[in-house]
Amino acid sequence: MNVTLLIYVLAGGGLVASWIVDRQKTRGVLKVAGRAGLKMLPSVLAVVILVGLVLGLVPPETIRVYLGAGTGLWGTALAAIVGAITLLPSLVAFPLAASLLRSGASVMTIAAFITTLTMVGFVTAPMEVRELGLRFTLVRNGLALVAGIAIALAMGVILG
Amino acid sequence: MPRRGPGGRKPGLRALVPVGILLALVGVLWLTRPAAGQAVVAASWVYLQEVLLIMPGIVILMGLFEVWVPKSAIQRLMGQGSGIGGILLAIGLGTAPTGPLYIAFPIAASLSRKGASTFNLMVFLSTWAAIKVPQVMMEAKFLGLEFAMARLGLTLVAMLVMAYVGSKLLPGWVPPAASSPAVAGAGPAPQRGQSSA
Repeated sequence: MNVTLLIYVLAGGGLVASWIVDRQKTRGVLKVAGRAGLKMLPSVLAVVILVGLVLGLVPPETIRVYLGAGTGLWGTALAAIVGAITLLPSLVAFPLAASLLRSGASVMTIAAFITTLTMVGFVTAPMEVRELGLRFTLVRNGLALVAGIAIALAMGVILG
Repeated sequence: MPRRGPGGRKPGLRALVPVGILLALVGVLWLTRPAAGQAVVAASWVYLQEVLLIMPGIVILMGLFEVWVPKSAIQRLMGQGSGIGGILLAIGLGTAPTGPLYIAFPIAASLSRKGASTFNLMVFLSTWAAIKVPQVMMEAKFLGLEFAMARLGLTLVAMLVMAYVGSKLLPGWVPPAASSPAVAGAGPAPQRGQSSA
């Protein structure tokens, strides 16, 4: 909640300052804002629906099943993929990960899951493709997936 | 895929096709498995509210950025050859607690249009995704300081490697056509088609 407040404080303050300094430019600011908003709307809607689908169809329990199962390289890869396609708020993801660790999941699995959960966005892809292009999206997410596995393996070595 | 048809600037109805497909999917789900369908709609609705709440603020910030931050500044601070300073700035920007990852995409696009390098862009996005300060604190709380610090360090390294590889794989990349022509009136003509090749 306080993040939202911060955003609006900054936006409001900035807008007021802009208005005082240069009205014409401020009109331009609103124009850009409006255009950007319109452009983002279809992809944001797509993301929202995808999120609903994922959250509605893949409850944390199912994730628990998938992540708790495997160990070793195979389990890590699976965790990475699960992380890639799910979208969980940190508030839910971290406690879930913690309980998985307690019930025996390996550090590698959890590390893979968290890394890809945050960095790979299957669900946010519509937006990313729209703003940054298909190729960029594929490259970044692909690399993030690989990074997730690499990080997980390293974590396994370090924290064993 | 070049986009023909009316309105070079408006997003175009074509952009709504994915939404339409997804809605149809949800509709089918609602009819065939009502319980699941309801869960999906409920989750979407909650999320939609969160998103709509945050969007006006975000787009205003984007507008302010677009109009007031001179391209030369970004180019100098985060463009090609800005070195460590650029990287640190990208990390700094990415770590500021300002929302979910998909918000970062349009911001990244704006940065790129103002001259930030692809490398720094990837650093920015990765930082935003995985190394946000409040997120890391929560991680330490639930998974232990050791885990969080180890992952933080490794992610930093991985992220730099990713950015390097990514920038090599995407030479001369520019974001797709801008949604907003330059405001001062003398903007570039709206570009046709996606330049994501």
